[in-house]
Amino acid sequence: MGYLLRRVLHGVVVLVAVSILSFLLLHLAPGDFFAEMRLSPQIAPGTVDALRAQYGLDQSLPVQYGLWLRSVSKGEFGYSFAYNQPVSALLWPRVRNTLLLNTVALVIAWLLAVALGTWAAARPGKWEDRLCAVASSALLVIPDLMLALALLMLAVRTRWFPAGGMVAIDFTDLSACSKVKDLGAHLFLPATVIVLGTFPLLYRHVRSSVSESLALPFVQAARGYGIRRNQLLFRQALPAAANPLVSLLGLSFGTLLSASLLVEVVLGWPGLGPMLLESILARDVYVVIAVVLLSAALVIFGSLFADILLYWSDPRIRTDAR
Amino acid sequence: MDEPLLQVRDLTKTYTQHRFLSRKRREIPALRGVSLSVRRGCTLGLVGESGSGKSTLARCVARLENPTSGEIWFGDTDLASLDRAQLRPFRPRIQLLIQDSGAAINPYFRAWEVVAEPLRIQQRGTAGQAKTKTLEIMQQVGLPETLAERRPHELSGGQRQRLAIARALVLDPELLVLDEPFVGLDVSVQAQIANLLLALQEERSLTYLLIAHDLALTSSMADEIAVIHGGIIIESATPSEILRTPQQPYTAQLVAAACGPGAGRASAGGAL
Repeated sequence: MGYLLRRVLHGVVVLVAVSILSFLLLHLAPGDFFAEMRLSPQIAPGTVDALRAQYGLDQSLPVQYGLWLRSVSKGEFGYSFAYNQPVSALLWPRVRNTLLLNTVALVIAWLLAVALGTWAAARPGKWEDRLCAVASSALLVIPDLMLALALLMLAVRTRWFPAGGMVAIDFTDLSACSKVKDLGAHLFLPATVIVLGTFPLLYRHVRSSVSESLALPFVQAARGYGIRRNQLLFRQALPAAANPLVSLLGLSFGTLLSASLLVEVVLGWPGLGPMLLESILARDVYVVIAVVLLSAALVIFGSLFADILLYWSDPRIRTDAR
Repeated sequence: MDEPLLQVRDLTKTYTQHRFLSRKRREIPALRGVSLSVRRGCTLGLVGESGSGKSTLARCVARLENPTSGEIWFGDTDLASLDRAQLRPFRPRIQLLIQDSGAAINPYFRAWEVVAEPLRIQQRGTAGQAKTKTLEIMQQVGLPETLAERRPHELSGGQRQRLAIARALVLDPELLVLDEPFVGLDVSVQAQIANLLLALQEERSLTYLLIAHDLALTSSMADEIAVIHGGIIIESATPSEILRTPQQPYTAQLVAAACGPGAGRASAGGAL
């Protein structure tokens, strides 16, 4: 319990550090959100100065950070210049959309990777194994963007899937059942791209840890007392292969907000991706900082989650930690 | 007493190494025509240095490995000719005690579960019967019931070796292949394990194929010694013959190492 508390506190410290760093780095970049207005002959310089003062941009950096912290304590996470509203209200629906997409994609990618990886590891050198190796290498070298564009083209040409967006225009009028159907149809394309992008790496990790654990002496001993292949895989080899995979699962957690950024931009998924890109280009700094912080929080949470899972699943770690 | 339980005839095992991006293969012979026989209720000591093919032979006899050619007669069945499914009824009758008992025990199981697992896999008896039998066997190998709920890493090296022996015995095998059962144990524990193995052999009329690199300890346990070198058996005789009149220079070297100065250390550390 003390351990858990220490880890959470540690996480909070990291988050504060990340916020300070992103503040500093974003302010090192020249100009700010209102810099381009100065070029416009229609806006008086006084107006721009007034706007900067209104948003606190004329204050010193520590003061700005302090103002931001106050807005965090109110749950607003700063104020967006471009949308003229608190960042949190702006981000939540987008976070929800991104999480929906990435969670679906990651669950599918993991299920596929564990199933195929174990299956291939049990047949080393056979054609099934080689086919999987070639396919995963091929997917690994194709950039996600290209996959996204290819699938987008397919969707546009064949009209099998909606090409972009998250819901149909008449979504609110649909019945519950067809709402799910519509959402699923829109999810299919971006989720496929993310699955194809993350699956090869996961597959390779699963395949190699299971094949390593199949060579372990105690797994060999189990063969000696006449275990059947499926039992060998699922009772002995897979638990022994689990530790590195659990750590990898924790890392996957950290990518729940970021895995889809580019895919969202290309396929028009109304998630964090397009908004983050826009905010970076426009120097809408508080939106950027909030997204960075959310990602960092997910990474911290993911590794904590992995450690707890390991602690629970591996008796050796449990004894050492005592 | 005199009929052989295990007869290995002209056994070869060759590993092939595939070259990267090439059709060429390199063949590495591990066993090059090994023949030996072990009589029921007796112990054959197989002695040789690292890399001589000892462990490969052990794995072939336990059929964890497919021999390249040759025959492995167990009673009146040639194990080398059987496939995975046909082997299944023979599995419980031949048990291999894998080298390095620390790694040979599933760390996720409790001590008694390690021993009960073969019974579960072979579907022998109910869960309750299995537990009773497990605790009985653990008692026999000198593991008190208080250790039953421990995890393997909470046991000492000697206790882990006893646990591995208990697991090998729980299916009531006829032949036990002991692959370096004394490695990694200190001298007093080695002696305890050796005595335990001898007592168990007496009680259960077990047949042992004892594989080791330590001639001194092996000759004290075996009825016959075979010396393996470079994948073939170069000499086989009774322990006293081997120790007194070794026929091959290599055997003489082994004898010298076992009986010469520092022999006690050699048998403890396992250096030849």
